[in-house]
This record gives sequence, structure tokens and C-alpha cells, in this order.
Amino acid sequence: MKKLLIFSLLSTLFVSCLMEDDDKFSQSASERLETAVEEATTALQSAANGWRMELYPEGNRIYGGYTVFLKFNADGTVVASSEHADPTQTATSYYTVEGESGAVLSFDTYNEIFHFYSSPSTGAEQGIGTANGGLEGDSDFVVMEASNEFIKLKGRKTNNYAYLYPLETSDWATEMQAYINAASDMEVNCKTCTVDGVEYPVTMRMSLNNFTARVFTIAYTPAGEDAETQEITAPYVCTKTGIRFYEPLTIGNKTVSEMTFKEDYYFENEDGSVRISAAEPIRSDNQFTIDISDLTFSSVTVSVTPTIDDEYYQWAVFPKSSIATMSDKAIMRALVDELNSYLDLGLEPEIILSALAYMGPSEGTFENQLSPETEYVVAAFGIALLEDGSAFTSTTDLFKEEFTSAEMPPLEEDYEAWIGTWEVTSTSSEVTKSQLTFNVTFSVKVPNSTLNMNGWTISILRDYNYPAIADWDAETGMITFDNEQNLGADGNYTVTFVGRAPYQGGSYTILTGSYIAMGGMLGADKTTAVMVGNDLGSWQICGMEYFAKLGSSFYIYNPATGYTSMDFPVGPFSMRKVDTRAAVVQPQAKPLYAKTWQPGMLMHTDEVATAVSAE
Amino acid sequence: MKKIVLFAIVALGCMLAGVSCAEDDLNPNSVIVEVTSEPTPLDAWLYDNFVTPYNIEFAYRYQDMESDMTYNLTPASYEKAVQMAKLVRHLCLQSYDEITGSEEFIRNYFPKMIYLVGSPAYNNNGTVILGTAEGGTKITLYAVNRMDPTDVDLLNEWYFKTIHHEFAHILHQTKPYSTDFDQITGTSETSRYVGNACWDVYATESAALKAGFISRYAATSADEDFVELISIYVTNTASTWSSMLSTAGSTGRSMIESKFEIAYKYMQNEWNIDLDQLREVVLKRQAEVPTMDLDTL
Repeated sequence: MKKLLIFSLLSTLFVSCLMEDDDKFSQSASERLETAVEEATTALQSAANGWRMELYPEGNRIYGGYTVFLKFNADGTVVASSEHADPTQTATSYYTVEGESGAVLSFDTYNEIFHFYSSPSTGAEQGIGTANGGLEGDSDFVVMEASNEFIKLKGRKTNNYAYLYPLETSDWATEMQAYINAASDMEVNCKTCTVDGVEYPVTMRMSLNNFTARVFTIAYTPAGEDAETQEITAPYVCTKTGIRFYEPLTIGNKTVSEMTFKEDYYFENEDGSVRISAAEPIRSDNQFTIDISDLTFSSVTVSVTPTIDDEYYQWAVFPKSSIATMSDKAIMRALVDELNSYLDLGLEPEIILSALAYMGPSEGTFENQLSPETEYVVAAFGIALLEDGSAFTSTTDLFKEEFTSAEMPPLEEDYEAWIGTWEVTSTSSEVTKSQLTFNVTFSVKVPNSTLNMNGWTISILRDYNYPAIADWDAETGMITFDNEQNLGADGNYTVTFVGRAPYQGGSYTILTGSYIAMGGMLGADKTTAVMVGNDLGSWQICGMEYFAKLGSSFYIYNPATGYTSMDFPVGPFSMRKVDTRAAVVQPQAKPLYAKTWQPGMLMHTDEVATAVSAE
Repeated sequence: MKKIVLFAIVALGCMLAGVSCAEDDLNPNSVIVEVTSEPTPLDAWLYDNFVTPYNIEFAYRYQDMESDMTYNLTPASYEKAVQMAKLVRHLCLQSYDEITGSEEFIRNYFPKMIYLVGSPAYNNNGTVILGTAEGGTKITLYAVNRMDPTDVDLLNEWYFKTIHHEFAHILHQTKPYSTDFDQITGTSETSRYVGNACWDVYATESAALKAGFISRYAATSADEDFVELISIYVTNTASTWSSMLSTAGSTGRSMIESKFEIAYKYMQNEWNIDLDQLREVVLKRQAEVPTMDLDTL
């Protein structure tokens, strides 16, 4: 009976199907595909200002997400900008919307900004991501949903979703910069996730394979005796006000899809029940006055005066172009990270601060370190060690002062001839009695008057910037070096450039006193020169060298690689120009510090060198 | 009884189905969905210079699905695609036109699709793929975004030798060459076809030459050997060729020369193409590249 019933039901089914021969859809498959393509194309082109895309490269979203702006034009071109390109730049290429398994959007000619995230060259040539894959993102996307307000794409290769929201402004450069700044400000190292008052440890992946990463991992342990800890991995993208997770994050009974960045150190969901937080920052009321003086084309003196005298602060001079795209927080973080790198080496925080940071009024003279006609920014801010001792942190806003270096004056021919790198060959040496070769570099100090010289030493000071001063004589074109030039501090010692002379038959001594120690004369072709020690009558200067001076004692610096201790070169010296370097300092991206790391006493021996006064 | 009922129902169903089907018209719309992208200036140029004369698709718009999904790849830039289209036409297609006297030869035998990829295909062993061919229908050219049209040697090495190479495969797949060719390279320890191990067994080009192979890759198999001989011959000057032969030494040289003679006669007899003449035309056209305007369509 039951079977009969089934049969009769079956028959009605047949009949009913056959009688109403309607398609389930009002259009055929190909018509629907065509409609999907048309709708997707219309939607993509609908955003007058373009779209903001949340793009997650790599199939497991190991890097998190990035902000890309896209504008799809009716002529088949697509314009792109991204947070990893200059925000004022765009790149244009072609796109296609095709019907395959639904509408498929292909970025099908090369777009240097968009394809950065999918090109293997990103890895092979820039060393970002994996060696042969780069960031392993998509070039083709299936259009899952498309309207004028929202587009959802699915990467063909990664299967990652990408979300597009219409941009509200046509000023992409400003808007992208705002996203870059926000993302940079939110680079705080979160350690805890608090859900309804219960804390769970958080680890944050902030970089991976030489690239910015945005992934939280929360070690969540549900309540209860035997509950096992679960690792919740949450890739996210930065918005202007906070972060949005790739997919809603469930921690216990809470589900979070977006969080707002608050008070510069934590993220919080809408009702405040979930918080992901870094250590609470230390704040200080310290304020800084920055004064610029003695500004020339190559040099400047900067003084910084804090309102609080017993707190550490940091400052540096940046070429303005090097920080043009950085937010104040990013600038401070760059300087703080520099200090943190010494912590990572295992040095004591107090030693790092006293060596590299400042307390009380400070001043720095940047001799021959500026490029002419270049804009610079002095940036100063308070600094302190976090309570847990794990890192330094900024404690104030950033105080800035700008200046522009002067124009380079015209140089006399015989003055300019000295500028550059010279290979110096000695006649002999004190210990091994051999001809020594070393390079020295001259650069402009006071135009047509004095020169800075680096490198006249066989010690490890070759690698440090302690320029000695040469006086240039306009009449003869000669340069001379004064004796006993004090070139700066090395811990408690003074780095001194001083003459040496034969002493007591066969040995040598430092010869103190004020006199001209060496003089140099250009050859006729101005690419060769000779340098000779001064003949003082009773003393014949044979060369000059760097020593660490304390009181009246001179300590010997360790020899540079390839040289022998105490084997100082003996002149006369022949010089051959090997590099006509530009007369001016070339612009560099690096900040200038008044203090640099000095290992101090580690650099020289405890041995005191013989010193005799010429007087 | 039950069975009969079932049959009746089926019969009824069939009847009704038949009736209802008869009322359906064939859908006039194609099930192929057209690509909706706007034609570019290059598209119009390609229609006139590739599709109409040769029936060749020059596919410069990248799609993951058309590509080898085992690699991470990027599209060719539009500007490079324009340059490459003009170079392929000038250096390859028109070279054959010039010596055969018409576009027929290319139209009949050249692969129907040239597919461009912007990035190189990086292998895990550090090598890169510059070109591939699939079953005589499609040639893929990689690293197009790095192409420097002023460097003819590099153009040859990366692209045009590859195209001549792949085209020669199609020719011998269409009309086989003499099996005598296979016999010249023996199975001795010093000279034999070694498949993918060619890069390991023959560590340098000169080692390959001494073993009787015009290139290391030629040591893969007889087919590769055959097409390497043709493609290297037509893209290099007579003096380069003879210096390769002198590097090969007496043993290598005589093997290469015997094999090349078969290849030369094959091209002459089966396709009426004189490789010397083809080389002359190819080299003449290479010399014209520096003065060509590659950017204007």
C-alpha cells in the first residue's frame, strides 16, 4: 500500500513538473551569466570616487589585510593606489569582467601598484614575501556580490574574500595618507585580550617575510577545570579609526568584527566588553624648545631645551623628505625602535639612555653633515622605559622645528682639487718598516678656507667620524694640519690627532705642542699630491695619528683590520686621487644624531704611548 | 501489476514530455558569454595584423585560468604588450612571410595563440621559465615586463629563439623528420639524451657542444635537439655558429654538423624553407629593430 502511494505521488510529481514547464530561473544560464557580468560591471563603475578595497593576499592570510584604492572606468581602465606605494601616485592598467563561473574580474594587464601583492618579482627582486612567490595575492576575482554600496570579491587563487566600499572623497592622496598614518599609529604591540574582565594572552604578528603583517593570535582558555587553550588567529585590516577582522572573531560568547583604537594603546569593541591592549603608555608633561644656530650649507648647531630637567628625551635631525609620509607617531617609533635594538642586544636600559638619549638641555653640532639647500626637521620627544622593562616608549607628543640649509658657495679651483678620496702611500712604517697604504677623504668645512679630513689613521677610528681639520692657503694652494687637534669625546677620553717624530734613535714618540704638523702640496695635474711632516729643527715630524687622550696621557687605539698595532706610517707620503666625490654631502634618508653609540674604553689599549713636548 | 503501473506512468510521462518539448524553440542566444571589456587600441591593431592575416590570437590580457597555476605570475604591462606584438610580427611572422612569399605558411602552421605573462615563472631551483608551448597551439612568453627592446641578444635569448624553437616543434610534429637523426647521438656515456638531467649532466654550454649538442637543452631528447639546431641556427650569425662548432671540437662538431644537415634538408624538402635564407632574413630584421618605433601602433 505504501509503495502504491509512492507511485501515485510520483505520478503527480511527473505531471506537475511537465505541465508547468517553467525554468526555475526566468533566464537561461547564459543569460544569467551575462546579466551577472553586466551588473558587476555597472556596480564596479558606479563608484564616482572609486573604491576602498580590503585586500588579503596569501591563501592563509598570514600577512593580514591591506588598503588599496581602485577606480574602474568605462573605457576598461582601472586606476590603483595602495598603502605600500607613494600615496600621491596611482597606476593605470586594464581590467576585464568576464562570465565564467559567475562574473570574474581580472586585472589582466600589469598594474605596478596592484600587482605588487601578487607578483613573484616582489619576492624574487624585492625580497618581500616568499622567494619565488612574493606575497602570493590574486589577480583574478570572482564577483560574489555587487551593488553601488558594496562589492564582495573572491580571489581565484587564494579563495580569500576582498571587500570594496565606495570612497567618499576624490582626493585619494590625502585619504590614502590618512589610512597609512592610522595604520602606523595603530602599530602598538598588544599583549592582552580582555573579555568581560578576563585577560587572555595575545601575540601580535607585526611583520613577516620583510613585510608588514596584521595578525593577532589570542590564546583563549574557556572557563572550567579541564578547558584547553585555543589559539584564535585573527588577520585584520586597518581602517581610519581602528581595525576590522577578516571574519568575525569569536572569543567565548563574544563575537567581534570591528574594533576602535583608543587612547593610543588599545582596541575596543562597540560595547566595551572586548579589549585588545598594549602596555599602558607612560605620559609626561615635558615640553621642548628647539633652537637652530650657525646654519651653513653643510653644518648646523641644534639645541634642545626641555621644561623638565630630570627626564630622558630623544631628538634627531631628519631630512624632511625622509619623513614626508610619516606620522609623528611613526617618527617617534622609528627613533624608539633604534633604542630598542640596543635592548635586544642585551645592554642595560640606563646605559643606552645615557649613551644615546638626553636629559637636561642638550646641543649638537652637525659639522659637514648637511646637504646644501635641503629642508631638515628637528624632532624631539620624551622617552622612558616601560614598566616591565621590555622596551622604551615615547612619553610626549613630537616637537618639531624646521630649517633649510644654505646654498653652496662657489669653490676656488685649488681648494676644490683637494675634495674627494685619496690613496695615501707612506715611505715606511715604525714597526714593520714597510710602505703602508690607506685612504683619506677630504670634504668642505668652511668653503675656500678649511677642509675636513677623515681616515688618516691605521686604527679602528677609520670607521668613525672624527674629522681632522686642514687649513687651505689660497696663495699657495697648500693644506696644513695643526698639531694636537682635539676632535671629540670618546667616553671620558678626547680623540686627538697628533704628530709623531723619531725619538732617541730608532724609536718614535708623540710630539705635543702647538705647531703645524704636516703640509700637503698638489701635483701639477691636481690628482696627485705629496704630504710631508714639518721640520721643527730639533724635531722632524714623520706623520700624524689618532690617540685617546686623558689628562696628559695618550692611549693607543686598536689597529684597523690589516694593520699592525703601533706600526704607524712614516712619511713623506705620496697621494693619488681615487674618487672625485662631490664637494657636498649627498642627501641621505637616515636621521642625524648628536650622540652616536661609542664603545668608549673598549676601543683602545691600556698602554700609554710615549709623548714628548716640542716646547 | 506494479510494474505495469510504473510503465504506464513512464509512458505517460514520455508522452507529455514529448508534447511539451515540441513547443520549445531553440534559444536564439549563444551560451557563450562575450567578454565585456572595452577594446583597446592594441586590440584593433591586433585584429588587423594578427587575426585577419594569420588567424593568430595575441593574448596579452592575463588570466590565472589561462596560466600555469603552479606559479605566481603577473600580467604583461600594456606598453610591453604593444612592443612585443610589433616585435613578434616583425621578427618572426614576417620573416617566414618574406621567404615563403605569402602569409599562408604562418596562417596554416603557426600556433594559434601567443600568450604573454609579465613576470618570469620562477622555479624552486632558482631557474626561470622563459617560454613554453602546448601541443602546437599556444606559445607562452614570460617576463615580458622585463623585456628591453634595445637588447637584441637578450630578445633572442628570451623570446625569439623560443618562438622559432616552438614553431619548429609544430613543423616536425606535422611532418616527421628522418629517424636517421636519432641515431647520430648514441647512447655512450659521453653523449646521450638525458631528459631533464641535461642541466646537471652537461654543466656548461661548451660541455654540451663537445658532446655534440648545440645547447645544453638540446641534450634533453632528439626532438629538442632537432628544434634547438634550427632555432639557434636562424637567430645567430654565421660567425657565432662557426665559433660554437669550433668550441665543440672535432667529435662534437661532426655530430652537430651531421644532425644539422638532416635538419637543413628536412626544412628544405618538407617545407621548402632554406634555413640560410631564413637566417639572412631574420638577422636583417633584427638589425632593423633599433630603428623601429615599437610604441606607436
